[in-house]
Amino acid sequence: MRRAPDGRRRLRPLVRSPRRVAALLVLTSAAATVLMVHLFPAAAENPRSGRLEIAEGPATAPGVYVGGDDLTGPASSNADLRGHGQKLDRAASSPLLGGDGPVAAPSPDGRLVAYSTWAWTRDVDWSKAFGEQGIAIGDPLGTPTLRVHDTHGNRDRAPEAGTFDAAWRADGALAYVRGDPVSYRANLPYLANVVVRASATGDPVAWTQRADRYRVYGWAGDRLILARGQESGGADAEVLDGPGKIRLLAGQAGLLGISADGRQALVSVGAPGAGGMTLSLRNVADSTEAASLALSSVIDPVTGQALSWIAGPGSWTGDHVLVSSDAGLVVLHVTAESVSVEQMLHVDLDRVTTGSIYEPRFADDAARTVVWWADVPRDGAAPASAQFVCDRYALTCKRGANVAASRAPRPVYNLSGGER
Amino acid sequence: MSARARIVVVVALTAASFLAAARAGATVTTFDFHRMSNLSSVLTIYRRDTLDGSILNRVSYRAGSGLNTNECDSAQYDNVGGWLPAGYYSLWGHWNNYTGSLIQGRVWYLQDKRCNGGTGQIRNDLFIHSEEDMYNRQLCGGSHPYVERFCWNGDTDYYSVGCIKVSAAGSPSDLARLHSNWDNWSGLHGSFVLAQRLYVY
Repeated sequence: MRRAPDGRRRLRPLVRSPRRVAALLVLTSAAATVLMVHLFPAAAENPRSGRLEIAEGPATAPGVYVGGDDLTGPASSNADLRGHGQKLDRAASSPLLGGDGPVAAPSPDGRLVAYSTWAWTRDVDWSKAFGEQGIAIGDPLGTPTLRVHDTHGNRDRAPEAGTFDAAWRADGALAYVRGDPVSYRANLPYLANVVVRASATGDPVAWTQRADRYRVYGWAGDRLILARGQESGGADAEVLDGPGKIRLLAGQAGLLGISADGRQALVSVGAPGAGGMTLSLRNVADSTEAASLALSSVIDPVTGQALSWIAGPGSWTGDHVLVSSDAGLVVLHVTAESVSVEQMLHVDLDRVTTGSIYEPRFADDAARTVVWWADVPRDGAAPASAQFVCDRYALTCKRGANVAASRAPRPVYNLSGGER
Repeated sequence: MSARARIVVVVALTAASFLAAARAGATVTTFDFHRMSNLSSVLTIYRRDTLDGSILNRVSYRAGSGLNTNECDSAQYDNVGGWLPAGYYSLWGHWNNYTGSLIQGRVWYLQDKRCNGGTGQIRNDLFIHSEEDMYNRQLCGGSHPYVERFCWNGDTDYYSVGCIKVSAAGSPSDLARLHSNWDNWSGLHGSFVLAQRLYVY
């Protein structure tokens, strides 16, 4: 080796050509990128958390929606709804369910839509006391009726009165609750049995024998996940393994979602005033816990506060579960053995809504577009609702125009998971 | 005393007792609930003159309701409910030793209410209550077992899934004082129908 004049060793360049240097740099950075993505997939793909920026303006969300008696799906996979919407025979409405679950659910092939309707048997002024209107405990006030709309033939039929709360199984079986008696009666709980039909036109088979505060959440394979309400509030999550075969999934638990394969269900247990809330991933087959996450460990990035509550129904797409919370929206990353937070989407609930978000749904398979609706602050005006369509990667939303609360644009979805 | 005098005395006593009864029945006991936040709202109990509505007595207590401020959010699937819907309520019962699965002890039972101006969900199973067992005890450990729902152990116990909750802490607790107000002014127990006895705003 030659020596430099000052005695230091002169280093021979490894690559002499500038073109080769550039090529080497490109190769090196490409390799580093590939390595990073494989070593840190979450860091490379996770969208950032933050406040959702909401702007007024129309947005067409993928999926099917129902508002009053309008069934629409201009950007849906249902060809019968892409061209123009359809009129339902009755307005979709479920005062016993509210925004706690789907008012309308599509069959597995999307052709049929089972939707809840309501008929009042007497006029009620809800701003006044019952006693002032001569209403006594037990007086019948209204009746729910589940109807099935065929989007292909634009036909509509009602299998039986006193029914609502539909969930479709992968093979087309339909589960719902049937009131006993069929009427909602003032200040009496709406007790019902769970009924299953092998198809929309099949014969009804009672899966429970004694009416209780049952609500159907969805199918997990060939098992049914239920909420059984308790007197004075709260509910247990239960599993029906078949007719008459009921067991506990989680006590005093809120249902948040059923995995796509139907093997697991995500529930919340506990309450802010009772030691805090914990998310619990349960194996449906035996009710065991596969994973959990204490809500006190989840921090709103805008306020720096731990979350108080998480509510359902959630939207479960792949490994992602979207739920609402006191901070706005939370995207969870859920595998068969773990539950973690992927993203927090902060919404100023008191400014944008009347206090909470309804039915947030992933509107695409990529779990990027998020759709939700809310009752909006009214300042003395008539009750109104609005739909919000968000890009969770851009942290932006479009807020649709106000509509009458009775015509709130609600997603049509099925909470079931798994094959039969 | 002559027979005539006796009759006069009897008539006078009867009239006086009717007057007293009328006077005693001339008041009405009502509540109002001013929704301010889930953990810190105000429940006021009034004794009013039935004839002119004037307020004879009034006592206010800190009270909580719901987990959020959406009066249409019920807890039937997810155990997360909003505060009590606005409007007038009938009162349909008061018990000292109520034995619900989650709510026990001293309770006032409210009517169902459809939220959002009568456009939204029907909220039901609504009460004014606290956290105590059916014997009005605090089950906070020590000589009793610890049962979270029957132990008032802090401000977060003002949270509910929609009911109105007052504190059972201290002696006398707000619940005990509220109950004493009720006993002294109304005294009704068991099932009854009292229209328009609670106003929520």
